[in-house]
Amino acid sequence: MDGGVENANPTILSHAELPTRQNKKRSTGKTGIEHQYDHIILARPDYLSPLYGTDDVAWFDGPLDDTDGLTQEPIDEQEIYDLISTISDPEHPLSLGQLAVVNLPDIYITRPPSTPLEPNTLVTVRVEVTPTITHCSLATVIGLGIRVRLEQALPPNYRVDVRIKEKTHSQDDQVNKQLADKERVAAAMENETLRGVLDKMLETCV
Amino acid sequence: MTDFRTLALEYVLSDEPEKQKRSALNAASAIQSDPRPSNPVLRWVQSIGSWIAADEGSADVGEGGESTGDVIARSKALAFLADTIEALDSEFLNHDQVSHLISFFGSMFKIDHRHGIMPAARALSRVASMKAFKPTQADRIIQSVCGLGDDFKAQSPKTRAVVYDLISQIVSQPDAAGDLQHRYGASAGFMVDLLQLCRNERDPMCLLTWFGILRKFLTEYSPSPEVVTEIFNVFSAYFPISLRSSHHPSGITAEDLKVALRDCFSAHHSVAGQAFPFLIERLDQGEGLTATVKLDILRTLKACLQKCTDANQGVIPFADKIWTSLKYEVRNGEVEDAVKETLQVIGALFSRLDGDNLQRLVHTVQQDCLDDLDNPTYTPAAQKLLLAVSSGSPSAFALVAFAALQPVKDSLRHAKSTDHTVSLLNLLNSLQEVRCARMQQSTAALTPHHVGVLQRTEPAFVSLYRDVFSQPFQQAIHPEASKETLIIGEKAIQGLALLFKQQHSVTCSQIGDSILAPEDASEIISDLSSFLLSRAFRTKDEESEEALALLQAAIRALQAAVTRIPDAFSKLVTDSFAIFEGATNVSFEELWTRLRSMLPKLAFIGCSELPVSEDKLQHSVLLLSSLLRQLQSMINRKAPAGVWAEYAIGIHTTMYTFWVACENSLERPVREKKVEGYDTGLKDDLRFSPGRWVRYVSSRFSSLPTLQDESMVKTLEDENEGTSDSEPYYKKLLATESRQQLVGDMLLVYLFVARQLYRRATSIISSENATTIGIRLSEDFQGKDNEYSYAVLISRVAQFAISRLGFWEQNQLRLLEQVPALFRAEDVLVDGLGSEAESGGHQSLRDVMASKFTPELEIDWSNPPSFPINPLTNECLVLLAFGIMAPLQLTTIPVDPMSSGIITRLFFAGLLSRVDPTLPPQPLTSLMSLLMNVSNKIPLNELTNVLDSARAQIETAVSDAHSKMDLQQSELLAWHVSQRAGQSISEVRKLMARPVLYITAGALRRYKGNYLKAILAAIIRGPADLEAGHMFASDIEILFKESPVLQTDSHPRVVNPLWRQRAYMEIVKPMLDLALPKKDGSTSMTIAANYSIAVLHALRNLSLEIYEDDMEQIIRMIICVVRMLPLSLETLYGLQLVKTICQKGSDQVTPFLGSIIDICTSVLVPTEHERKRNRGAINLEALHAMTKDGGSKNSPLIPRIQVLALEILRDLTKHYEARHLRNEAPAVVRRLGRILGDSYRETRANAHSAISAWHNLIR
Repeated sequence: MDGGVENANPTILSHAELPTRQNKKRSTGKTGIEHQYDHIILARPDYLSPLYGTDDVAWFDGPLDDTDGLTQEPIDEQEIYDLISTISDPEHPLSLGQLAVVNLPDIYITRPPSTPLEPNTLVTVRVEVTPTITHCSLATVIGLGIRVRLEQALPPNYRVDVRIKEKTHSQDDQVNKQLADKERVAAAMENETLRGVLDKMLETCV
Repeated sequence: MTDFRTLALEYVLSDEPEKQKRSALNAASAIQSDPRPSNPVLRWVQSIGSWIAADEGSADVGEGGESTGDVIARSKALAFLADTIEALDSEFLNHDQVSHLISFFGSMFKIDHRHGIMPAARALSRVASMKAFKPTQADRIIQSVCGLGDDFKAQSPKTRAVVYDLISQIVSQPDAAGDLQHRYGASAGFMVDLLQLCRNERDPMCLLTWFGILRKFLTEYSPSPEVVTEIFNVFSAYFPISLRSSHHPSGITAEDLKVALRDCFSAHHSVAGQAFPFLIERLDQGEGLTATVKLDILRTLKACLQKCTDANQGVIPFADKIWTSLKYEVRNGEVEDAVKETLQVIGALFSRLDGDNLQRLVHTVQQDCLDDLDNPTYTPAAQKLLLAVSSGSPSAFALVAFAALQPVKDSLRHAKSTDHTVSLLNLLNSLQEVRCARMQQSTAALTPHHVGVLQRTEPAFVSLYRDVFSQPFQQAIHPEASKETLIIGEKAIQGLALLFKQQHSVTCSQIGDSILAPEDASEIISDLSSFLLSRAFRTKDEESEEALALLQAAIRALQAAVTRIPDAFSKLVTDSFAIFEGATNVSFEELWTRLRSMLPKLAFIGCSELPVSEDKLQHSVLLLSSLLRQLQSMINRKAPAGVWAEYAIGIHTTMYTFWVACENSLERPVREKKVEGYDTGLKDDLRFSPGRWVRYVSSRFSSLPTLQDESMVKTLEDENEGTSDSEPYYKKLLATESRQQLVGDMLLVYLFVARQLYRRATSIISSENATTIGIRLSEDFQGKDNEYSYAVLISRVAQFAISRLGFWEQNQLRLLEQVPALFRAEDVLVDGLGSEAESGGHQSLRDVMASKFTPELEIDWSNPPSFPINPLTNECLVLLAFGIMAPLQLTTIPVDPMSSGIITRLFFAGLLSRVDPTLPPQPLTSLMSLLMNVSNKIPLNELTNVLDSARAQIETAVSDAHSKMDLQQSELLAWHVSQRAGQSISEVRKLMARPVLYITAGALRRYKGNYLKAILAAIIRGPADLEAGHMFASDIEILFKESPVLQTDSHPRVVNPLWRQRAYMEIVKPMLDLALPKKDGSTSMTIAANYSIAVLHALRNLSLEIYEDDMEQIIRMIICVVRMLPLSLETLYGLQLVKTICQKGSDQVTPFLGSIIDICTSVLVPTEHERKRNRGAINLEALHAMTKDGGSKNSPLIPRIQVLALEILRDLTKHYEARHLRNEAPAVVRRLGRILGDSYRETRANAHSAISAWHNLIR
């Protein structure tokens, strides 16, 4: 940090290139020009609304949805990505997602398939970090930031494992060791300077 | 004689503008009324002598020598004169007096530059507008003003603004301008003096006027080039102009200044010599410019080009330079707006050129752009430039088209990528669009020369089909086409669509006017139709996005084609309906899929634009006929009702699409709103008569089928009007004006189609003993799936058709009578049915209705009658009646007994909601809609028998004990109970109350007076019922909810603007008082809960402003509801209200913040909420029963409630200061942490944002 920027010209992904959930949902409605008046012609009649006690009558738009489009979905890799991709890089004014330090394919969730939504089942989330350069001295700080963010944002039955992606850092063993050591992580959190850096990194998380 | 000194003294001593004005007015009237010999003007001027004389010396000596009081008094004294002059009649003063006044006030600019300027300028301004003012005196005023010299700068902006106004007024007066021009000639010395005086002006208000003066001078005077240069130097120094603050106190914006300055640049072609080089130089600065400045430069350039009166002098010398600079901007510009603006400037430039100059510059454009077409990187910019040039003028277009088409074709042959091909095709299509737009311009906008030029481009475009579009089109419609081929094919098909739109001549649009050769046109249409029919039935998921886009392009191309070649549509319709027919051999399911996919496409292709042929209804009638005919066939073949429904949707879509096309094509709207209703301009049209219209439509549009035997329809008198056999019936009814003919035909065809659908869906029957005549659903209806949907859809078709009629046509066709008769009013009753008619013989249903429907109605409550003709006991029949009634434009209760009788019967049928015992039980929901609609249309207070019955019914419904009922009420309740066997008494009472609520809801919106008082009192009593109160409570929402039923296309709802406020005070507020349990125990918890439910259901439909005063009480109630009731709809509504209230950040909420946080966090964990709630003292079972979806652990409402609670918690941190929340923060963060693993993604996301917001409070 004090020694200046190590990688002055990292590869930056634009917002459009970042993986999002929106791209995955393809619209299923009718979109052709010939359907331009469907919303008028096929509108659900008022007398088929809940106020008349007839909300269970099927209409061309399907039955009324009580949940306002809310659906039960377990925490998945994209959600973990959304939690950590917005963390700021400690030396660039960019997010970890934009710098491709965290990538969707490098997030793994181990969940026993039999009980996907059981609240007390232990689930492990493993995130593999790709530093922008192989000798990045801030890799530990970035890993720590991701770890702190996930521990804050995930429920208690989730265990977090943050590692450096294999062969992407010259000292990945050491960094992994540090990140996996609970006591060293706890000690790091006591360090006010480090805490300040982490707070700054996490400021951009929503 | 008036003492002017006293008036002047009064003025000077006063500080009130009103008083001062009065003194000035008095002085003015005294001057005008005093005898002339007394020389009132002189006395008036001398009246301020004491203030002027006292200072004459000191003003010259220096300002330091005089006291502030003297200066102010003198200024006021002069203002007295100025105000008086302003009040004087402009014709009163004679020439000498005007001259003296000019001298007097003019001298002020020299001797009193501290406080005399403003009044002097004001006075001179008024003097200059007087009749006796001579143009020769204008120069004296200007010279006086210029005498100020450097002292002008020292004046306040307000004073300077008045001086500028004076100058502006003088230079704008034609006579004065003439004198100044004559006096100074081209050297314009006075302007040079003014430029000297006004240099360095910086006040926005003054600048605005100063720019106006300069513009006026440049436009109206003929200054020498030297003076023009001097003026240019003055105003160009301000360019680019901006304002430091976006909100200047004067209200002037930077845009105002920019426009004023732009007007100076574009004032006259003599400025062009300086303006263009100046602007181009600025534009060429490149990266040093901000986007805003660049836009300003470009807009100024455009203005200069557009406003230049002499292009030879003002534009042509600079055209090359401008082109070079703009070309660079288009090629290298990064800001989209700037590039767009640049293209417009290029268009403006080429619009000013003609002849050799145009040819020369277009040649330069060719050299610059055509080579770029071979390079994919440069093609988009070249395309933009060529298009911008071609948009300049028809001549420019022709030159570009001749020059560019061949190189584009060549480049297409060697295109380097898909994007390159697409860019080149886009250029061709855009050029076609420009030609279309030019050809469709009014003849007034085109000279014969331009017409000839445009027509000469035709061969170049005709060849595009064979040379360019044909091959990619054929490749794209191949089933195995690649993604790239599809993308290119889409552009090629767009090009084909535009080829269809190209026409030979400018003036007319007729069949055969297309430039395409007939064989080419039919080949394209045939290929497009085959492609459409082969692809239209694939599901969306089977097709790639590119393939779908290609299909859409084909649909649009076909639409363009059939508009100009109408026969093509009939073939497409025939082929499509043959496919539908063929699908029935596979299965009705297959038919249903094909109908759903193809019918909207046919409607768009045939009806979204009026055909160019004379018969504008050709396509819509053809499609409607085919749809009706095949629908009839399908019903005869017992196809499922789902298939019928698709035909009904197709019919409605066709009607709607053609209606919109008609509205777009006509110059004025089809309907205009008048006081009594809509007016379509068809008043007194012969076709609109109950006795004529059906025969007219059948005769004129003989292809429209009749779905049921019409032989038993009574011939009304009008129809007997003789016509000669040789002439079709419709001929004598045709309108003289084409618009009227088209609109009338369209409306009648729509109504005819609706009538056919209705008649097929109903039949007339007599009861078993043939004593009762009535209408029932036809035998096609067997109580199977989707029959209800079909009834809804054909009811909508009728609603659409009737809503498009005007007030006059609806009345004229006596449509109210068809509400019970369902388009069978003219049916003749025979045999057993005829025995009903007293006089026997051939009576129609209308004749029977006339005797049955009378407004006076005596009801025996122990056995209420079943209503004649149409008892409205079947939901489908009610729907059909609703389709006719809802769009009727009624404003009063009709005078004739049958019509008013129909309305009364509708209300009684609704109140009783009699159910046909032979049918499966079905709620008559559309009957409730009908009640609401009618009660909002007509003044209900005039139907006292309906009001009395409604009151009796609601009072019976809310009376919880039989002992309290009178005999009539007991009988009524007993009858309702007997009607609804198997339902609990509470349920029956709720159903009794509902019709009254719907009637009240409609009437409440137009409520004046007190006629609903008793009904409202009974409604308020409802929730107090221990057994059924919760049902009454939630139904309160009926009164307040916005309903589309009240607002139809033809009948806007009648709304008193303050109805919600009144309804809140009279209904909600009394209930709010009962919603909190009293400490003395006078209100039971259950009843209080009922009232809470009622209040919540009402408030969710009201805005915060209405209940703001009772906010504290409402919050207390909501806290109680959330704590005591299970998680239910009421919890959700309560939290929604809390969210709305908290968004205002009101201080009234602050004491409750702790409780709000508590209820919001408690709902996050439903089991904990339930545990806490159980500590309450309310009867749990009763509560579970009373709340909708309440108590269920898996209620779908719970995630919605949780998300809402999280949103409230998050927003609290935004709306309230941290000091109110900080103490709660650690606990809130802890409790929010428990929901991070929730199974709903939205809950987790909101929890994260809420935690983050509360974390910030702790940090």
